[in-house]
Amino acid sequence: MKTRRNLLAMVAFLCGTSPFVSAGDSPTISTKLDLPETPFNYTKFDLPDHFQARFVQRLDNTPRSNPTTNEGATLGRVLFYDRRFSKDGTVSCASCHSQKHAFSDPDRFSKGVGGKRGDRNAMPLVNVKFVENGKFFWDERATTLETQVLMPIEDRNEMAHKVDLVVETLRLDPAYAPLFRQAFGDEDITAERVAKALAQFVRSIVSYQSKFDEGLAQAGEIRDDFANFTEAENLGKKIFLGDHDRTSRGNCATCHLRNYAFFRNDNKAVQSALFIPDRLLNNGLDQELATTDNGVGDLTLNARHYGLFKTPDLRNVELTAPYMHDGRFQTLEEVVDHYNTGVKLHPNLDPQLRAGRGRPGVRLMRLEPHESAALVAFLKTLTDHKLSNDPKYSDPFR
Amino acid sequence: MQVRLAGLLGVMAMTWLPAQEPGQRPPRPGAERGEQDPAGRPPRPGDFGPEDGPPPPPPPPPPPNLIFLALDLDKAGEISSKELAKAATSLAKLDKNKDGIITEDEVRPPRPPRRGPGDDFEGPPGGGPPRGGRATDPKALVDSVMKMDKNNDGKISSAELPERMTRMMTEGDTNKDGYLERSEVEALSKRQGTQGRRRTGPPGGGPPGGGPPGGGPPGRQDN
Ligand code: HEC
Ligand code: HEC
Repeated sequence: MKTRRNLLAMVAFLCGTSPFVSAGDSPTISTKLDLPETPFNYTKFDLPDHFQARFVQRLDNTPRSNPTTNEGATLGRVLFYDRRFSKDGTVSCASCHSQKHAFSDPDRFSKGVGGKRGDRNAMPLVNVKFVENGKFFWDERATTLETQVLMPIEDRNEMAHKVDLVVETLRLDPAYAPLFRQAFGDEDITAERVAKALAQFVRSIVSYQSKFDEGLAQAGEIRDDFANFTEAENLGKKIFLGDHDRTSRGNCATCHLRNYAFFRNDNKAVQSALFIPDRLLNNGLDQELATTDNGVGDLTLNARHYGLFKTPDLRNVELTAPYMHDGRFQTLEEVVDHYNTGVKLHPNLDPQLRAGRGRPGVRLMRLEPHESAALVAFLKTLTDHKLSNDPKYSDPFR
Repeated sequence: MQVRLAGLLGVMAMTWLPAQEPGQRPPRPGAERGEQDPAGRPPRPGDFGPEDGPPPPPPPPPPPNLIFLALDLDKAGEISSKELAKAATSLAKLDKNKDGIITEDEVRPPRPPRRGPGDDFEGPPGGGPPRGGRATDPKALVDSVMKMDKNNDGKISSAELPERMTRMMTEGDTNKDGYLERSEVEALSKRQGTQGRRRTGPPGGGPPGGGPPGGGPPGRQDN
């Protein structure tokens, strides 16, 4: 075993100067890493109070079998940026999940190996750790993060490769052995460990340092005006929370701020940290029951599930254009217009977007232009510029 | 298991209060999620442009109080002094995740049943069409799947099936010829569409997650 590894290391060393070297079919890129002496901190965050609420902490989907460690996430970071995960060595996870865009892709449909594209917009990877049910993709078809992270490797439109071959390639690269040892105790390189390390890195991407978070920390309560907000941002927040007028136009929080509608007896929001729903929803993008992408319905063939999709966290939404599962909207203004005038009466449209109370049809927000602008201004307060520039999430390859 | 009575009373008050608050505003348009609106916000008449669609269902009955139900061992609708003496053990049953602590979400009333994978194709139990429109013909869904047959050879190949739907091939291609024929899609739609939850269900546990937010305990299972 030892001699074999030495041999492999030597081969890798000899080939180290040329960037593309074959390990079987898969090209090898010489690995020069820029990693700090002591690993970055991926585990202890100086979280504001609203993140420390017991309710929020309980949503953490980290399995006992794979707690995040600084060493594990460091390895995960390297894997995340390693283009040898794809068949032709051109595509890494980061190709479609770019830090600058809150780990999403400005392309409507991301470009995979050979220029192929799928039919969905890449999801942002922010606060994924707080997805309580731990299910991933727009249709939640991946039931844990540890299984999800290996799926892009074999997706023909993404990395178009084989997990086994990726593992083989990593074994040939001497740079990885010490990283695996630090993360897992020995130098054994397996698919399971690759999955664990990638999942740790993804879970370490926590966004909590936006203007909104500062404002909330000062105010203590989401429904109070924030001192650091402009007038428009405070108005936008009111609209988002449905607190703006008697008819609660806006009211985005009822879907996008998990458990917002559950109040304590002191009338405070249960949580104000996670801008995610607690279930799959339809927000009326299409009228017809069946389209070319039916979300959960395509998996179950149950009419009740057609058009139901997972919704990513709205944090950093300013950076994650285009929007919706198929990236159909280019700007936040277009998104707000959808809720203002564009909601369609899909058979599974959520009750929150139906007129209700004895009246048929959809519920349109019909915000005034200045109100729409204020709502967009509020959404932009959710941007965490520290996250999108933090070196610990950046490309470690030199 | 430590039960601190004062804290519990607080929790009980919390689960009772919203339902009893006088002058609470009526449910929001289409609010059938059984959520309690905060007290003290003004009423909100539904003022949004009607387009077309069926009337919404009647408002749900008030949610059950889980703490009361747990204490009321003989289901007499009241808590006797005997039952009160056993309160600590009765309440311990509410500690769903057995961590020795009863948290708010463990005593939050369940949401009213929502349309779920177990429902049939034709519409809600009441018989009417699914909200928002016509009854859905299962044939129409099978038709829409068969549209993926780009080369019109009457069957869907793996290449024609989007990657995200590969599970349909593994589960539906019962004759293992590498294609999904119409009859196989029909059979799959019958099997899954009507028995979703029991058989395969939507990816893990079902979309319109009733019950506690997210529909189940966090994914802490070791894997
Ligand atoms: C070619 C582009 C592409 C590549 C490469 C890619 N992804 Fe993705 N990613 C996507 C798209 C598109 C989706 C949504 C797909 C869907 O819902 O079917 C997605 C979804 C995800 C999600 C789900 C997020 C959520 O909240 O549900 C995670 C996690 C993820 N990717 C991680 C990764 C990791 C880790 C890698 C590298 C191993 C990777 N991705 C490589 C495009 C890509
Ligand atoms: C009925 C629940 C519901 C309400 C109310 C609602 N949304 Fe959404 N929203 C969704 C769903 C579901 C999606 C994802 C839909 C998809 O991609 O198919 C979404 C997507 C979005 C996205 C795009 C996210 C992304 O990463 O692509 C934005 C931005 C957004 N909503 C903003 C708002 C705003 C602003 C409001 C208030 C005017 C609002 N939403 C009200 C359910 C809702």
